[in-house]
Amino acid sequence: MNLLTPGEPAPEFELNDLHGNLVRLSDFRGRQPIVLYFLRGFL
Amino acid sequence: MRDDYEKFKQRGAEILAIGPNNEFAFQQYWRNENIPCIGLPDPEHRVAVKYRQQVNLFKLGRMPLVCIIDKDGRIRYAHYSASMADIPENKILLDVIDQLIASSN
Repeated sequence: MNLLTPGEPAPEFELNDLHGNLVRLSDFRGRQPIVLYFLRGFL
Repeated sequence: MRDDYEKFKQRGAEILAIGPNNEFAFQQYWRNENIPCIGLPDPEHRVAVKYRQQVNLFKLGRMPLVCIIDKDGRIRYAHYSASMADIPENKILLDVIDQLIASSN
């Protein structure tokens, strides 16, 4: 499976935040840069 | 990340942290560690798979991944960690954001 590389469009997604609000990547389009941290998980 | 969050905000960037834990574990961790950024539980790994987050060799968990996405929705930086401890320094990420800001002016 190919890894994502700079220049590619970021895959769209939506997830609920910790307050139950739906957050879509496209919510930030045209507004601000995003740092996406994919965590390894915590115990 | 917690300590440098303001530096990202000052540059107009937002941080989204996506993880495999469920909402309850996320809430506990965010509260205990006083984490300021947006937490997004992804227990079904839907987004992790979309972004090709790697699973480590012994299936003990997912390897860290950091991406920076510009205002147009394009990936400008991607770091797939080679180990659990291999996480880019905030300075590297802040420099990428500074370059994005400079190139859009």
